[in-house]
Amino acid sequence: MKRKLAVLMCLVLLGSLLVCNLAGAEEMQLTIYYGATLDQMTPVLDAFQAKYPDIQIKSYRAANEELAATMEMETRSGNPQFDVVVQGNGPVITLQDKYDCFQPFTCASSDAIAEGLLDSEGIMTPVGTGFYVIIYNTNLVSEEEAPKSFKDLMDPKWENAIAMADPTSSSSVYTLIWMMTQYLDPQTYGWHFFETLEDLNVNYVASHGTIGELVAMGERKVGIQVMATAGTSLKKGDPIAIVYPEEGMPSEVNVAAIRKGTPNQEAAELFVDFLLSEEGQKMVAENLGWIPVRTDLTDYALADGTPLSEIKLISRDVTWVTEKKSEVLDKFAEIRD
Amino acid sequence: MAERRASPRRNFQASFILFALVCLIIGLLVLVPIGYMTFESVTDEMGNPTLENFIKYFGRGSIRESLLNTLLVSIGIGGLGTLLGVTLAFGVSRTNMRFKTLVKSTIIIAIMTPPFLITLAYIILAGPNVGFVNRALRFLLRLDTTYGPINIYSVWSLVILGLPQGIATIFMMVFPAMENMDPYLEEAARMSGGNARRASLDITIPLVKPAILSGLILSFGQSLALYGVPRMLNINVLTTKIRESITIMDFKMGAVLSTTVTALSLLAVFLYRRTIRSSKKYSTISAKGFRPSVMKLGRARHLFSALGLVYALFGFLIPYCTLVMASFMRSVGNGFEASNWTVDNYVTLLDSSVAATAFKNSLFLGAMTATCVVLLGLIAGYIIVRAKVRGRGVLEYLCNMPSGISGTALAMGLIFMYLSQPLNQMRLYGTIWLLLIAYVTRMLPSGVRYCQSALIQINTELEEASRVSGASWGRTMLKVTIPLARTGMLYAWILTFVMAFPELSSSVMLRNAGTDVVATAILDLWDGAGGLPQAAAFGTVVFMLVTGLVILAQKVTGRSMIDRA
Repeated sequence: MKRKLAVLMCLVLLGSLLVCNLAGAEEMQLTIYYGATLDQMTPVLDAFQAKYPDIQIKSYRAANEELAATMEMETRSGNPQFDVVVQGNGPVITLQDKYDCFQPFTCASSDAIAEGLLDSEGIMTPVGTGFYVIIYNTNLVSEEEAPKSFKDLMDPKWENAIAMADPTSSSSVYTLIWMMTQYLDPQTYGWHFFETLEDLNVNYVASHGTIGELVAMGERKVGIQVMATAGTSLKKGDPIAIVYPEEGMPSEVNVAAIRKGTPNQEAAELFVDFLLSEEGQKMVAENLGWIPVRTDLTDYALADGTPLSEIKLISRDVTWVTEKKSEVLDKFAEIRD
Repeated sequence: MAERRASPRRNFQASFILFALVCLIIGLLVLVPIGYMTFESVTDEMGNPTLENFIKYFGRGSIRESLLNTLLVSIGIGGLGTLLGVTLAFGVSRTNMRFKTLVKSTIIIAIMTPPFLITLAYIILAGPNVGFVNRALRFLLRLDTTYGPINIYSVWSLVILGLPQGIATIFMMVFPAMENMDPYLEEAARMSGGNARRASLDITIPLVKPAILSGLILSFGQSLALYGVPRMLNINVLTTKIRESITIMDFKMGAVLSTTVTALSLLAVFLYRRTIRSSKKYSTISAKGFRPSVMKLGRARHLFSALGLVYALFGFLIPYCTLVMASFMRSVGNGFEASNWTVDNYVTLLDSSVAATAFKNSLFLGAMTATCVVLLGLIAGYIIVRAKVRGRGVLEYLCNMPSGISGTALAMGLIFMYLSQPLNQMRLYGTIWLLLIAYVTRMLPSGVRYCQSALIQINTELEEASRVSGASWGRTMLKVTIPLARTGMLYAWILTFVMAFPELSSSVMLRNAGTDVVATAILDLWDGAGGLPQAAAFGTVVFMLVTGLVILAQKVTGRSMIDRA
């Protein structure tokens, strides 16, 4: 009897799962791929869903680099699943160059967007600007001790104490690499900066979220972090504080792009328009931690209350970032050898 | 009446067609992806044969390092696992050591749960700066340093973290051999003047040597395939390099590395099959009903007990307690303060649509995989055990091959297979069905093994009676064999489900929107989607479910993973 019951239960489970998986169609659908973290994007998607309850939203989150790889493989397989992608502009440019897989789109609020950010071909719609900061664990490091600049990180006192993203799995970190090797003085910074960090036994981690975790745990005292994730750590109540380095901060534009030939173009356009609307931009700023691209949101301040006017952003050279990737990887392999 | 009797000729044909069909399906699952991958690795962009790829990639320092690390880890886990696994198997089966039940529970948990779960805990426990274990060690050993002595982010920690599973794998091979050994052989040794130690070294160990060897090779292959642990610790091994090749879109590199790791593990499987074949010569099982004698050890008893306790503590109790504790914290960095405790991580999990999708997908994949594997396993197992078809050895070999293929390499093969002409027309990439194909392939060996043992236990006389009475082969199968093997099949079903449920290494390569599974969701949480506490909460749920199902399987079917029925 017991056995029959168990077999029956298994069959019911199996049957219901099959039904679950086959059900659901005939609605307006939208598949969104994004590189931000889940808890950052969820409120934005929820707000969009609340506004358009008829759209059935599917979303997929992966680190920027992995996301680009997934899209590339889907494109090659002839079975692309994504309708719209929101991530750093580097991988989108690479994909577009290789496969011509995105289509131009002019969003409803394009007049309100800061002019310098607009893509001349209209393939990418800017959504927000992300940038690099330094975070430290406030239980272990006092404000006086904390690094004030990127240069301070080269101090031997940070031996075994720094975490940064691994260039093999993160694309955002190329923004930092660009600034160190191309923008700042090559004598003081350059590859010397990363060689010094290597000597200090820096911990390379696969994604920026993990940097936040390691610093919050105290396993690493300081981390070179993207602002968005630093903001999330603050919101969660992690014992961390943010430093805006004196040299200025390298920034990257995050964009939205719509896949060419998507059957869900209407929904995709609605989503991009939503991201660029006043409401959407506020949500982007608050949840994704990106600086809004609309010029009319004047009261914007950073996650720790710092007004925008007090920080210095340096816009990265996206061409360098996309073209020099394999060279950078080789160089890092050499440094880490 | 005469007309209704199945002719032997037709029966032969029926079973041969079935045999060919099963071989075809399993060959398609196992051989074709390997073929695609190998082809890709030994051809240039134009498709001309070349060995350039191997020379090019193994010329790179980081790739040579990954190969070296992989070998180091596999040999380390295999070697240490054998030493400790055999000692524990001997202790539990033949001595009066304490904590036997605890050790057996740890063995089952180590086999059934993925090692990346305990890794989450050990990142908290053994971080070189503030890990609890390191702080305790520094205090106890009076070390004047703020770093180490244990560094979790090292190749050696990979050996330690893979060890609980390695020990368990070897224990599972050696323990039954020890249990089934004729105690008179040892007694004879002792009566001839040898002491207990001599008897075990000269008689026991040589008798179970084939089992030890196959356990060693199995755990070697398993360690080659480790993905979750090195991925979380960011350690350079072949499997993580394969994943990297995808993110940097270097398919040739992926092909070369997958082929290398597969060749290594197939070599292990080949050796494993050979030791199994030769082990039949040293049969330790006879029809005599006996229990092996338990040695009354003196002081040595405490040594075995201590080893058992240490294994249970570090392989099971400490990491899982840490995992559960972390799952109730807001931020692990704030420690044990009252304000840091919360159930929010579980609440968030319940609310999360990604977690819900992942859970549903894993249930679906687990159930479908178990069903497919049990069906395939039943037919393949039947052919291997019963049918007198020529070439059934080939089938057995095919069924065992996936146990040597790492999930990452298999996924790479599937990507080549379903991304190139003509199979890309099936549009399987990006769907859950491709994950199902990978899962079925990966779980095939254990499924076939469970079904085989279920079939062996059925006396052939009942089937013969059915055939003699005029029933066809198919009817006999449906009316006699399957009902008799039912309990065994249910057991195989549940265990396959449990092993498929937290699959990581193939899923991480093949998933995309809507096809996340629990393991990838946990990895994403750790990667930053929700942080370590939430990952710990999800991990705890998976652990509870897996443990619950294993207990259910043992209760319902009356079988045990370790003890004899």
